[in-house]
Amino acid sequence: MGTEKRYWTGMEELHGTKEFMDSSAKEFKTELPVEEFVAGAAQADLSSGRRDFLKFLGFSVGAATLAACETPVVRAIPYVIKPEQVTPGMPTYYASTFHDGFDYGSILVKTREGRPIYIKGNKDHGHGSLNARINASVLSLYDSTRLTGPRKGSESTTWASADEAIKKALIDANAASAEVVLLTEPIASPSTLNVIAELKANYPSANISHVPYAPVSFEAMSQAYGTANGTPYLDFKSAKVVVCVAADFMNDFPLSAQYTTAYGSARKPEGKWMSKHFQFESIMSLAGSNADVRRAIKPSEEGLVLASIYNHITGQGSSNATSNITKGAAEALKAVPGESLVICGNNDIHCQNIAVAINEALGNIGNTIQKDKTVQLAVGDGTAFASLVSKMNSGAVDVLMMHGVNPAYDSPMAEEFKTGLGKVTNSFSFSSHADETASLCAYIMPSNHALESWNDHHVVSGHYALSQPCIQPLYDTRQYQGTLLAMSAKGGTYYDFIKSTWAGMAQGDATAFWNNALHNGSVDMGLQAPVVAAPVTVKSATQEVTAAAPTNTSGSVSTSIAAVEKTASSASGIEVVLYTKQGIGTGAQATNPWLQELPDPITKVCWDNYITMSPAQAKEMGFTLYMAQETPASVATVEVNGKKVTLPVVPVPGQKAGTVGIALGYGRGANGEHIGNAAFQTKEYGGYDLDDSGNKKPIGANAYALVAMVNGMASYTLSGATVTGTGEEYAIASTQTHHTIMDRESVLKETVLGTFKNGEQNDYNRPHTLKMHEHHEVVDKPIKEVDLWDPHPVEGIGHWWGLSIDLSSCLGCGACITACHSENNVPVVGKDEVRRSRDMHWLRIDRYFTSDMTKEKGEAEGIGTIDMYSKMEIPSENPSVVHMPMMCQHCNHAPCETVCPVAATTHSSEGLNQMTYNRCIGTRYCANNCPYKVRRFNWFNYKAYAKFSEVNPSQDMMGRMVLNPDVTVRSRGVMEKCSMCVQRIQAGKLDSKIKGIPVADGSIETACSEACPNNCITFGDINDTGSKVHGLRNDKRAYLALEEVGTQPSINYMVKVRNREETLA
Amino acid sequence: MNHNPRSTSSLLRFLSFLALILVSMASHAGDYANGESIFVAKCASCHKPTDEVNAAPGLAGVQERWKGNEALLYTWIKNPNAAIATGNPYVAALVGKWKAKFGLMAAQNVTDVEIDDILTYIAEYKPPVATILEPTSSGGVEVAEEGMSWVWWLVFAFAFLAVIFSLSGVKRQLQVAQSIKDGEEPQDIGYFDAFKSWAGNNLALVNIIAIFLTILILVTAWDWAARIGVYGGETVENNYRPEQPIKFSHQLHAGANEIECQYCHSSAESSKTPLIPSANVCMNCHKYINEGPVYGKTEIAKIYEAIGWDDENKEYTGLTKPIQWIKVHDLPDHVYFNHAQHVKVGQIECETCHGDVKEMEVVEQVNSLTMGWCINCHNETQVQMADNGYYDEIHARLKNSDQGVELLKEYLEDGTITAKELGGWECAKCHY
Repeated sequence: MGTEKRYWTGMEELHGTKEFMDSSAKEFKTELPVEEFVAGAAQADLSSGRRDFLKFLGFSVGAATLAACETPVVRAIPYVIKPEQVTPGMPTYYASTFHDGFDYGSILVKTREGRPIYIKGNKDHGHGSLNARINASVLSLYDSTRLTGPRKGSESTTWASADEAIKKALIDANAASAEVVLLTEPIASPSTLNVIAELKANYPSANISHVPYAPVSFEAMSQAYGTANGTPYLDFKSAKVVVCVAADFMNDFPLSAQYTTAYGSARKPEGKWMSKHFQFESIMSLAGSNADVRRAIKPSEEGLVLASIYNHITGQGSSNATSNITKGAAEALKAVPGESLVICGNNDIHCQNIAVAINEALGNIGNTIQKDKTVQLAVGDGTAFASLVSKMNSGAVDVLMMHGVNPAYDSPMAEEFKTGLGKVTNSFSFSSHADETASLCAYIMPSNHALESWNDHHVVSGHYALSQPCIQPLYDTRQYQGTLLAMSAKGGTYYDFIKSTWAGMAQGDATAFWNNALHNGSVDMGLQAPVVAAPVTVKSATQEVTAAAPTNTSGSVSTSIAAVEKTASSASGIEVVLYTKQGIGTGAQATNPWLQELPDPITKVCWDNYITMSPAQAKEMGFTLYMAQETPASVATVEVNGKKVTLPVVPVPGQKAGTVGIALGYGRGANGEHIGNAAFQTKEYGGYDLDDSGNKKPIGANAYALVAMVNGMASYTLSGATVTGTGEEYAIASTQTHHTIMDRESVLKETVLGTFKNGEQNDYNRPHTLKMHEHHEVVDKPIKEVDLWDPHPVEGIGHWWGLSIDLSSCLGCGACITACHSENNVPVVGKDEVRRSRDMHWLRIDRYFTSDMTKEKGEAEGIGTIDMYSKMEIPSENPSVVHMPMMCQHCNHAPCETVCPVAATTHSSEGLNQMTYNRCIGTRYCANNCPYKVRRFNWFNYKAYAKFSEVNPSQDMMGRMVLNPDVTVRSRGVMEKCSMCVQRIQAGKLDSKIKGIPVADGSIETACSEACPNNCITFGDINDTGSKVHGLRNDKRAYLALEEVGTQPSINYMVKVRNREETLA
Repeated sequence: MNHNPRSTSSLLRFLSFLALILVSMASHAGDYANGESIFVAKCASCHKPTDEVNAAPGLAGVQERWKGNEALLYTWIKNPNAAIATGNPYVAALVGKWKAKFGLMAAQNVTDVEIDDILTYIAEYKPPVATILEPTSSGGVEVAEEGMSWVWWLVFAFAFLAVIFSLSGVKRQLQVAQSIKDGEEPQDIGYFDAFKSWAGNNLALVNIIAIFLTILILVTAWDWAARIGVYGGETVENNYRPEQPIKFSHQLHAGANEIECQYCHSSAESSKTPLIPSANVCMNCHKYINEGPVYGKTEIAKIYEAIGWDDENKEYTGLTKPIQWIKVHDLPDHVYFNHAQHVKVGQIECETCHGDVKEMEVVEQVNSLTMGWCINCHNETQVQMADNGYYDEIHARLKNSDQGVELLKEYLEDGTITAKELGGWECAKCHY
C-alpha cells in the first residue's frame, strides 16, 4: 500500500463509541418492524401475535388467488390525433435552459409520451454541467401544491379579472405618475428586459423601475471587478494555482457546476500539469474538502489572508497574523503569474477589492479572469432593494410586481418588507406557490414552471440560450412575461416576442438562425454579439450608480487593507458563517423531496439544517459529539445582533474552532404557507408534526434572519455571536456512521502527485496478493488467480459493462444521486427512515476523513498497538477528505448471488449483477452478504403507505408523472440496488442492432456517468478494446475496491492523487 | 340453427339482381360489371353512385344533369381543365359549387368506352347486398354441454354412496339381528366407527387411496394455479376475446383488404410499443369510406365521434373523445417487452405471437404469454445475425479468445445460435 492512513467514516467510528461498536456488528440496526408490517396503519391493535399473522397471511393469499381468477380489463387508449414528434415508448429530447437567478445550465429534457421525466446536461452545446438542484428541478414541475390558477387574496379568481386589476393599477399609476416597481430574480433574459422596456413605454408617466434581488448575492465581487450585473468569468481551465478564500465555487457560487467541470479538467494527474488548489475557510465546504491545501481560518481573518497574500506578492506592507499560513499559497501564485486565480467568496467590498488587486498584480485579469465576459447570476442590488423597502414603508410605492423572489422569507429586512408590503396599494405576485411573500399580495397570477415556459437567457456574455416548453402548462397558469406583454401596447405572445428579439441578432437567415438555436438550445455569438436587450435603461437609478462605481486603485487597496484589519481586530465572540447547501441551495426548491433526501456532501445529514461546529468546541461546550440513530444531537441557540436561531449541533472536523456554520434555505413555510409537501417535519408514523398553535413545523430554521446588511450589501459572515445549549435534544438523520468499512485499507487509495509522477505503480497502487503454497514454496499470487468458483465467461466475450470511477475527479457534489433517483424511480423515504438506516439510494457517496496517526508512524515512534489505535482516535483538526461514490460493484463473483434461496439475483453474461424483483421473496441474505453494503430493502410500500404520503412524490397523481416508465416501481418486501441502468444498456444495444452497427463507445451512458459534472464516472464496454473504460480499467491508477475479498467487481476505482508535497506514506 | 328468413330474401334479391344485369346487358351499350370495377378503382374514393355527397358530389342522375352536354362530360372526366376552358355555363356552375369544398377533380385516364361502362353502372346502380356474417360462436357463450358430464359424475357418486350406505346399513341390521339371535347384547356402532374398523382392517388399501387422492389434489391444484392469469393458449378453454368499443374487424382490414399490419401499428419496428393507431390514421381512409360491409355506418360513425368529424358537412368539429380500446395482449408491468427488438431485429412475424389476426373478426389472445412461453421461444429461435454489424462484432469477439471459441462451438452444436445462447434467458433482459 502506498498510503497507510486510517480512514474513518464519522466521529463515531473514530472514537469507537459503544453504540457505534454495537451497531456496527449488526447488519440492519433496528429491530425488524414486524408489528408495523402486520398492523399497518392500525397502531392501536398491536396485540396481534403469530397466529394472527398467519391468519392474515392465509387470508391475503386466498384473497389474492381469488382476485387473480377474474380477467382484469385493461384499457388501451391511443391518441385521438397523434402528435408527429411523439412515438409512444420512445423518449423525445428537447434542448432547453435552466435559470433561476442562482443556478444556470444548458439542459436536455427527456420526455416520454409528452411528460418531462429526466433532465440531463446538454454537453454538446452551451453550459451542460448540472448540479443536483438542476437535475431535480423536473420533480418540482409536478408539485401538486402549485397554484392551479390566479388568486385574489386567498380566493381563486379568473385571469380576466386579475388582468383587469393589474391593468387598472398601471393606468392609475400612470395617471398619478406614481411609483411602479418590478422586483425579480436577477434577470439575464434579453427578451424579458425588452418586455419590461415595452411596459415602461406604455406607461411613460409612471415611474417604473426594475429591482433585481438575490437572496444570496455576489454584489461585492461584481462591484470590485466593475462588471455590472455580474461577476467576471473565471477560467479554471488554465489556472495552475487556485486560491480560494471562503469561496465554495463548487456549490455556493455563480455558475458553480460549469466551474467545477473546468476546474476538474485542470486536475488530471496524467495531464501535463495539475492545478494546485489552496482553500482558506471556516466551515468545511465542498471546495475545501477537495483542496490540496486547506487552512481553517475565522471569517474575520478572510481579509487578513488576502492582505497578507497581497503583501507577499507585491512586496509591500507588513506581514500579519495569517502570514505564516498564506506563505505557501503566495509563493505558488508568484510562480505562475497570469495563470492563477484568487477567488474571494465573501460579499464584502474590501475583501473583494484586495482579491482584485492580487489578481491584477499577478496579471490574471485579462488572462484567467475575463472582465468583458461576465456571468449574470446571483448579483442582486442590495441598495436598490433597501431603498425600495423604505419607499414601501413610506407608502410611496403604488404598484409592486414580483417574480422569482421571496423577500418575506429570505431577506435580511423581511420584517420591514412585510410591513411595507401592507402599505403598497397594488401588489401582484407571479409566484407559482402561495409562498411567504405571495400570500401577502393582493393578487397572485401564477407563472408557469420553467419546463412549461419560453424564455431566453444571456447569462454568460456572448452566449445566448433559449428555454422551450416541454409540456403544456399543467395548471391554469401563465408566464409572467405574457402578463406583462398583455399590459404593454405590444401585446401578442411571449414566444413571438422572443422570436422578434432573436431576429434582431440573427446573422443571415433569421428562420434558420432561430431553428438552429432552438435545436441546440443556445448559440455562441462571441463577445461582439449585437446588443438586443435594453438592460440598463430599466434598472433603477441606484443600480446605474453602483454599476459605474470606480473599481480599485492602489489607494483603495490600502483603504481596504485598513478596513479588513479593523474587521479582524474588532471581531469578538463566536463567528457565524451562513452558507448554502448542495441540495437546498437558496431554499427555492426546499419542497423538493429528492433534494431534501440528498445527503450533505460533508456531514451526510439529510432533511435538516444544523449548526456546524468544530468537535473540540462542541466537546468544550458539552454537546453530543457522536450522533447515531439512538443518540440525538444537542440543541443550541445562536444569538447574534439580537437575533436568534435554535438548531441542533453537528460537529464537523475541519471547522475552525470559534466559528459556527448554518445553512440558509431552511425553515420555509413557518407560518403554514402552502409551499409544498416536503418542507415540513413529519411524525414517526406519518402526518405532519404540528407546533402548539397547530401550524406545521418547518424543517430547520430560517437563517436568513441572521444576515446582516453591511455597506448596503448582505453580509453572510457575522461576529460577536453567542452559542448556548438549550439542554434539549433533537434526532438527526445521517446516511453515514452506519455502513462501516472499519479499517480496511483497500477500500480507497490515495497518493500525492510527486509519488504518482515519479514512483512505480507499487508505490501508490500495489495489487493485492495472497500467500499460497505452490510446489512446497510460499508464493505471492494475485487475488484474481485464487478462486473457489468457476469464472463467469465475461472477459473478452460479448459485452462486459463496467464503470470506472476516478477518485481524483469525484468532488462529492451529489448530482449523480439525484440523477439516479430520477432515472431509476428510487423511492424517497423521509427522515425517520433514513435515521433507521433504511435510505434507498442506489448510489451513495461515502465521505472519509483521515486521521493523523498511521500504523507506520506508530511503529516508527515505537508505541504499542493499543496506544497507537487510541491515538488514531484523536481527531485531526484539519483532516483530508475523500469522496467515494459507492454503488453495486456488479461483482463477477458476487457474494449476494450465491446466497439467494430463490435465484432472484443472478449474473448476466454481460457482467451485470441482475436483480429480479418479481422473484425476490425478501430474505435479505444478499444484503447481509454484500461486502459493499449497497443493497437496499423495500421495508414498506413507499408509494402507498400513509407514513410516506408527505415525503414520497409517487403518492400523488402529479408526482407519479415523473416516474420512468421503463423501470419497475418496486413494492414492499423486495431487495433492490444499482442495475447499472440496465434499461439504458438494453435500449442502447437495441439501437445499435436496429442500425446494424457495433455499440459505439459513449453511445450508452448511465444516469450517474451522464450527470457527473466532472466526468469522474465513465461507463462502457470493457470488452471493447477501443473503449475509454477499457483503457481506464487497465490504467496504472485503477484498482478494485476490497479486491482481497475476491469479488472481482466490474467497477473499478482510480487512485486519488493530491497535488501536495508531503508524502503520505 | 334456426331457419333464417333473411337468407331467403337475400337469395330473392340476388336472383332479381342477376335478372336485372341480364336485362341491362341486353339493352345498353355499357357493361355494368366492367363499369363497377372501374368505378371502384378510380371514382369510389370520392364519388358515390348514389346521390349522397362523399368527398365529391354523388353521381346518381349524372347523365340527366349533363343532358345536352354529353360530349363535354367525356372531356370533363378526361381533362376537367379543358372542360372549364370551354366556358360552358353548366361546368362553370359545377366548379363554382364544389371546387371550394373538395378541390378540382383529377384528370382520369379512361377511354370513352370505359366512361360508357361507368355511366351504365351509375344509371343501373343497385346497392350491393350485404353479406350476412353469422356471429361465430364466441368464447363466452359456449353451450354447457361439457358441464353435463360432471353432473352425471355427481349423480353416479351419490348413487354409489347410497348403495354403500344402504349395504352397510343392511349389514349392521343383520349383525344386530344375529347378535339378538345369539342372545348377545346388540352393538349398534355408527357409520364412522364402522368405517374406522374397516379402514383398520384394510390399511394398505386405505394408504394407497390416500396417496392417490393427495397426488390428485396436488396435481389438480398445480394445474389450476398454473392457469391463473393466463388468458390464452392451449391450456385455456376460451381465449381472451373482449368485445371492443368499436367492432373493428382485422379480418376485413388486414385479411380481405390486405392492409399491412404496420400501416396502422406503425412503430412496431422502431419502438417498444407497436402503437394502437390514433383516430387520425383511421381517417386516412375513412374520411371517404363511411360505410362498412357488415355494420354499415354505425361502427365507422364511432370513429367520427371520437375524432370529431362531421360527416354531413365533411369537416372537423374539434370535439374529440378518445377511443377506449380494451387491451387484449397485456403483459404484467414487471416485464419489459420491446416490439422493435422482435419485429425489426429478430424479424419475427406478427403472427408468431398474435396468431392469424388476418382471420380474426374479433381479436383474441391465442398464445398464453406466460414466461414459459417466452423463454421456450428464446430457446428455439435463431438470432438473425446476417448483415448486422452488431452481431458481426459479437461474433468476432467470440472468435478472439479461447474461451469464446469453446463457447461458439457449444452454441453451434445444434447448428444455430439461439436467443438463449446470447443471453436471452437472463433475468435482466426483460425484468428491470
